[in-house]
Amino acid sequence: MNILAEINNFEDLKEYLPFLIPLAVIQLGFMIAALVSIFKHHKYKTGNRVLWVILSLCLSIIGPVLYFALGKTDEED
Amino acid sequence: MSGFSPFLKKEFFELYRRRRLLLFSILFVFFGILAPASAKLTPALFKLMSEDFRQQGITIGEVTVSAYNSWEQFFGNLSLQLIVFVVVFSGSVTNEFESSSIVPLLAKGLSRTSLILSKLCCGLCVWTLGYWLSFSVCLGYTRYYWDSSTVPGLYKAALLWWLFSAAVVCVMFLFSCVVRTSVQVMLCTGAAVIVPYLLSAVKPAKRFLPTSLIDAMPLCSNAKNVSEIAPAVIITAVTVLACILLCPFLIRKKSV
Amino acid sequence: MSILEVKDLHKSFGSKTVLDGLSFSVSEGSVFGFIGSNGAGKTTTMKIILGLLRADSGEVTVCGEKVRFGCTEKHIGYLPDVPEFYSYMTAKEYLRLCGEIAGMKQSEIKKRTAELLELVGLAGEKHRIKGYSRGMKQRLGIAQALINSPRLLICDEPTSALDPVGRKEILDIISSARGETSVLFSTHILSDVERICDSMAILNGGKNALSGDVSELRSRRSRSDLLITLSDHARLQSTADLLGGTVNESGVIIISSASQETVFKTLSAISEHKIPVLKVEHAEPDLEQLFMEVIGK
Repeated sequence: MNILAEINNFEDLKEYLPFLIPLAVIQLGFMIAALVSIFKHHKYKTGNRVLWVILSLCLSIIGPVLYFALGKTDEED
Repeated sequence: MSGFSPFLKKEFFELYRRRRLLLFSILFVFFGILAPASAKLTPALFKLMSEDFRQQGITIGEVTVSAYNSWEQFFGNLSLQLIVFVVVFSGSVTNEFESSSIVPLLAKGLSRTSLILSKLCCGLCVWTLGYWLSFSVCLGYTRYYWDSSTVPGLYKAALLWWLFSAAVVCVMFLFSCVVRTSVQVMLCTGAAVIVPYLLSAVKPAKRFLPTSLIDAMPLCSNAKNVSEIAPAVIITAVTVLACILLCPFLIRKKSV
Repeated sequence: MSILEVKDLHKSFGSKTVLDGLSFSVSEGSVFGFIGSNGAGKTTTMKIILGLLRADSGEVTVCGEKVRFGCTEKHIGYLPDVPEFYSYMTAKEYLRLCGEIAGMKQSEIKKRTAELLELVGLAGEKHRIKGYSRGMKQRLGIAQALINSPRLLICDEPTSALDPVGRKEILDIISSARGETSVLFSTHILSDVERICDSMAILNGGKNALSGDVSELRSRRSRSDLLITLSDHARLQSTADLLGGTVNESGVIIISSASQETVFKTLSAISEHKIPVLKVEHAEPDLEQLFMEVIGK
């Protein structure tokens, strides 16, 4: 996020906060939740662990959403 | 139509229990925020890159953004949301038949017409609510940062984009009645969107093709009038209705 | 009065003929065993009865009403061979869904759900279906099939995937449902049929190869063997000749297809000639034998 380097004065930052906070919370929250779930399970509905870890890390938001919708099993381990 | 409302209830209950509703609301809100955020950050981004450009001998003037850029981002991202929606819902019908979880309910007297229509109804509801949720979030942020004089045609553009997406959802359920697996549903639905998209390269065909409904920015800025693409609007609306009417007939042929 | 009537049913998938003029009927209040080897067409027949599959020709009537493809007769309860339920629901929620789809009143659903969960032994189960074992799913399957008090319960191989304990439980539950409904159940396990069925039919080559009352069928085919074990093996062959039997590899004299008359004659011959016997056994024919005979193996 070298974009943050450009936000050097506080006034600018205050302008950006209304969207930066929710975006960061959602993105990080989803990513962490997905990773925790991926490592807690051993079997997935589709795909494997490596695929889901890569997707969750690289495709922000979409990766975790796809994991929860398509990868996470409904069965108990 | 026996079993329509209990099955519709089950569909929503399933989305709730499997946390699909939560997942989608967060996703839609996220994309609603993302559009104005990207627009707002564009000048800073350009400033950052202008150093590199100056070294190459290119100078960039001051970049100004407005509500127009925010909505440009929004409509650009919408197709991604639609793709995620189709990917998640593509198994809605096929998985029930593949896993035979529908068999006990069919044996209880659930009619196939109710089955497909309640699925379609649920899918359309979720997409529509999510779409307008995303839209409202984006609207709120965009209003907060800029005045909306640059997008006088915003609402009609949004409405037409919604009509197109509703047609895609309906077509997806139509394919769900015909093919066996969710992957096949995705591929067929994808093809159904890509073919008219490629055809729109042919200028005279453009005003008849549903894909011209998602060319939102000229409509937003009033550079294009709805009447120019009226045939496409009618064809899209007919597609929606045709799918709703055809689904019950096609699903009767599906074997359990 | 018969609750289910199947007449001259034909069905083929592509070039493979599965049913070739199958007919049978199930009378009210009975437990009917539908026997056939794997792939004989039992599931196909049941799906046609349920209106889930279209027959090429033939007629099925349930409670006097003709079955049409695409709409299931409301008097039938169905337990699929490997029942698949919504794993995110609890047993109670699933039964409520089934009751609502069957068009029952809420109060009725509540009452039936409590009764049935008690019957199948899932009353204390609060977990979602995703954690259920195979036997538990099978028991929930029976509960959902019985929710709207059907007049005919159709079970597709309810016991074949279960261990002996699970099998006994399921059979007990089916027997206990006997009072309120007729049962048609398919199986390839013949001891299950002997345990709970009143009448049966054997499906072979897409036809009804043999059908009737279980006990009657058993007695009609009383070609049972008389087995005699001697305490003195020295005179084995001569004794066998005397009694008109043959000696098998383990040294037992077998008089095959012995009628009651032959049994008496043999016994008097034994006492007359003072033959030292260890054991005389008149084996009752079991269904296994009958089944093998019918399918020609």
